Amino acid sequence: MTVKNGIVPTDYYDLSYKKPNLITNLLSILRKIKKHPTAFAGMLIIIAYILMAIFAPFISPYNIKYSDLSERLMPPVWSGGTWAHPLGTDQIGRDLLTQIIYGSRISIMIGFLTVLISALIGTILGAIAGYYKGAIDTVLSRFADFLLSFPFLIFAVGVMAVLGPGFWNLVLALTFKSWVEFFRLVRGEVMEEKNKEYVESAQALGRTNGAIIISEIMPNIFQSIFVLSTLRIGYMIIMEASLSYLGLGVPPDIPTWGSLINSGRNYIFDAYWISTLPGIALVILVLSINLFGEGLRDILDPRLKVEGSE
Amino acid sequence: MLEIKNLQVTFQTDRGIVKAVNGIDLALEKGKILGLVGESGSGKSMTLLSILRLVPYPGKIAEGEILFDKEDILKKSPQEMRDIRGRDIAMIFQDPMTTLNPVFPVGEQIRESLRVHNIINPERNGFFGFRKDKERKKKEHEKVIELMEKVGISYPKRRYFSYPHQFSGGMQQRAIIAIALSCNPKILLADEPTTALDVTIQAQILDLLRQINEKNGTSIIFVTHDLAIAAEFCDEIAVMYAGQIVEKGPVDKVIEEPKHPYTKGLLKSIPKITQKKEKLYAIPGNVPDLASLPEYGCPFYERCEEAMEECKEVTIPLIEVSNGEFVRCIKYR
Amino acid sequence: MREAKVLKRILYTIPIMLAIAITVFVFMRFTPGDPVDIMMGKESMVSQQDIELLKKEFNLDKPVYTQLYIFLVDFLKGDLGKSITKNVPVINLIKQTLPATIELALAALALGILIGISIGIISAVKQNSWVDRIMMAVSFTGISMPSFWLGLILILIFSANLNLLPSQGRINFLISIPKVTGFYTIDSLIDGNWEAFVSSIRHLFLPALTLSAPLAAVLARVMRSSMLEVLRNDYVVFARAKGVPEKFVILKHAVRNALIPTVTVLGMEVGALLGGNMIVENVFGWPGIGRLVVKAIFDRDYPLVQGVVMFYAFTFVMANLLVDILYTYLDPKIDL
Repeated sequence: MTVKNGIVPTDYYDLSYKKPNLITNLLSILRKIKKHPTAFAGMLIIIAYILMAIFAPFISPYNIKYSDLSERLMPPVWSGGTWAHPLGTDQIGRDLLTQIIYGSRISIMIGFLTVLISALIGTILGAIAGYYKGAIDTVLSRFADFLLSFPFLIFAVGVMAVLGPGFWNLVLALTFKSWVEFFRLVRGEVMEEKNKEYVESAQALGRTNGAIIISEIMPNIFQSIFVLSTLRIGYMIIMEASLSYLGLGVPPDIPTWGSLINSGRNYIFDAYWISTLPGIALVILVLSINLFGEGLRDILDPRLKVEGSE
Repeated sequence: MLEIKNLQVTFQTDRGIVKAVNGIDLALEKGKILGLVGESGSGKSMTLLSILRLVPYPGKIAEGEILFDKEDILKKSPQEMRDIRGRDIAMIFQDPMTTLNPVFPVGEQIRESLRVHNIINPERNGFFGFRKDKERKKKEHEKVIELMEKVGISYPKRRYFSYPHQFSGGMQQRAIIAIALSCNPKILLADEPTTALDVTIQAQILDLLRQINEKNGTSIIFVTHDLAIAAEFCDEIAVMYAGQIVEKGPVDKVIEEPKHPYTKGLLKSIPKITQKKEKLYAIPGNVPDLASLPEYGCPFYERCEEAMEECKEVTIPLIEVSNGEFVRCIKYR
Repeated sequence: MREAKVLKRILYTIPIMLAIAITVFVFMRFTPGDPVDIMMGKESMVSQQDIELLKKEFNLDKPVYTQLYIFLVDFLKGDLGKSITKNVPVINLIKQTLPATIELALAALALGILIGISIGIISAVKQNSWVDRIMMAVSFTGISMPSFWLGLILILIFSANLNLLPSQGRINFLISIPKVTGFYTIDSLIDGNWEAFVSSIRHLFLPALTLSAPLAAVLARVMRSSMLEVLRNDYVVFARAKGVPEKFVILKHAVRNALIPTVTVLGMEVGALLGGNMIVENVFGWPGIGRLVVKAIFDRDYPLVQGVVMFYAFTFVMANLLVDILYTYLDPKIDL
């Protein structure tokens, strides 16, 4: 299209251009994900795990409480076991495959729930601190700094030691420290966005502060919040497993990968599968989540485009 | 002294091969200042980078010869290149703030140039190797102070240890010139050295460069998008468009009797203080997309005010109009 | 001028430490279970007098704020209370186990930095080659693995199958060396005991490797991305145009700049190192503070847990401080 002598051809402004909304945005992102091999693979695996967790009772070969002492410590199929217990059994005769399938429930639930709650809290507090600044900002930031002065695991261990094992205790312990990351991110971005012109014009139009934050600033920051969330889920899952390993997670009757690995610890030389296999399940899940998150970041952040394409 | 023959620099992109430099012939004579003028994307910076073989990936020098003192640079070994860079041919870049490394003191960066090319040479064998090192360091330090004075940096002794961000833009550029001069190069490649500076500093830097050219006999290739500066500063001008040279010749001929429509357009767009309140002239259209240049025909066709049907179809080489003057236009066939 | 800012930063840590102390104290007070009951748990026949005595000893008879005051004052004196299970001052236990943990942590830190940064530099220089891709894949997996599992796998491979390295403890229990620094590696060198030195290195290797893995992985990725950005800068091209050999362009000009954001990340990850070492010590039976505190939690030995957590927090704050100070000297543009 050439512009000769300052005259613009009439088809330059395509009046049928649709205004983007959330749905079209999501769909276009989905399309881009399909083109990105690792992100797509990651997404598929994550979906597979979620399905596995939801349909656990239906796809497990055995009842979760089933244990037969006469069948204890049987090796998996490739080490001389039978197809009756494809991944072997643990020290009290429970089928490992069933344990692992059920274990995914806790990991996924804790992972997603924790990140969801901390993202929510962190975003709200961060937006307030970043937008209004002043005293609120100082107080919240100091508090965030203080929380950051504890190493994550120490803090979580401390909280769990005080509260005792339990699902919601665990969620609390993990969220208590995680929200700080979201807080910092949102606060920084809100402060940056606040200086931009569209905020000024909204203020000039007389919109309330709340409305500005929600409808103007949020959509622009949403992407980075989402990317951070995806990357934190994997970390939360590992934290949950670590706490379960130490016996400080959910109550011992609920199966989790961490406690499985712990229980297999003493048998590592004779019955390696009890500790090894749940770990592999965990690594694959976390890996997929991380790949997906990284891929998403690549797609959404145009700054990271490879040079030479312009 | 320096001859470029049929230089072609290509970039591999996901939209195909882009010819940043599409067949350039240039000659630089000893002690002269050659100006390379063109808009962004015309390939002028790439030309300079090719001389030192610093074309960044994914670009590469696809074809051509660059003869420096009768030897082809493109065929030299890495070690020979390292000797040439900074010592025989030096280059200065556009933005002085980003050219200097922010974590090292300015004086040290100048000294590095001396160090790398072993300008101050202690005797090879010495039992007291360590002491020779210290001595050499001292001498280099002194030479750097000398250089800083030469380029006009005041209080050089103090400023030696300053960091780049503590210098003003003009001083930074002077420091960079000091680095370029440190080994007394035969050729200085200047890639828009004044574009990032304000006008008064611009004049000072240009003065400095002119001094260097006159006193040391250093030849200069001066790249700029500002034809006005080129007119004042250079001995010879080459105008580039879309990776090719469209007009070339001694400065007064090109400025007073421009032949190529592009050159004419550039001259017309220079605002004159005697102009009355007319609209400023701008060459209509945009710089072409280098990835989708037509195979044949003149690349300037779309924007040319004197264009004819034939221009679209015929590819014209650089034609010598008179002694030393060249044009790439169908009108001079 | 820098010195003034550094001093200010140091002073800033004091209120933080105070807040930590108070928090830990409050936490411990809220723990379910009367510590006295727990201590008495084993014996059933205990007189009221003994209970009173015990309460007095642990200050449990005084009001809460007095207890807090005593706690803070004691802390400043270096007295962290007395362990319930072991009946020795907490501070002694910490002193006993600290060298082991430090030895492990330092080894892991050194290993992590060495491996991580080297990988990062190599990956960036050879961007998109198969070397780069493999290294990035490995480091990516490194951050997706829980450290306790990695430790077990390493034990499985190196101890169980290959029988190359020992899996528990710090040194072959038959060997004894004088306790000079508490670092078995250094002590054995001082003693001239080569066998001891080899044994302690062999015992140190796997736990240090496990602990260093997440650190190395993160450092590799950050260093790589930081290097890639730096390599795009003009001053890198200029250094080449000066004639600086490529080796120095990378190692001197580029790395120095790329290290700046990497050090920030390093500071943040050191905390994870402290947390991770609890787990690694557990897996490898390493007799350090981590193992001590985990056992203390299960034994409900609150003073011990309290003391150790305080100690951890303190160390963490100090480490962050050090990193901040280091940062000012690396980046001339920053004042704190």
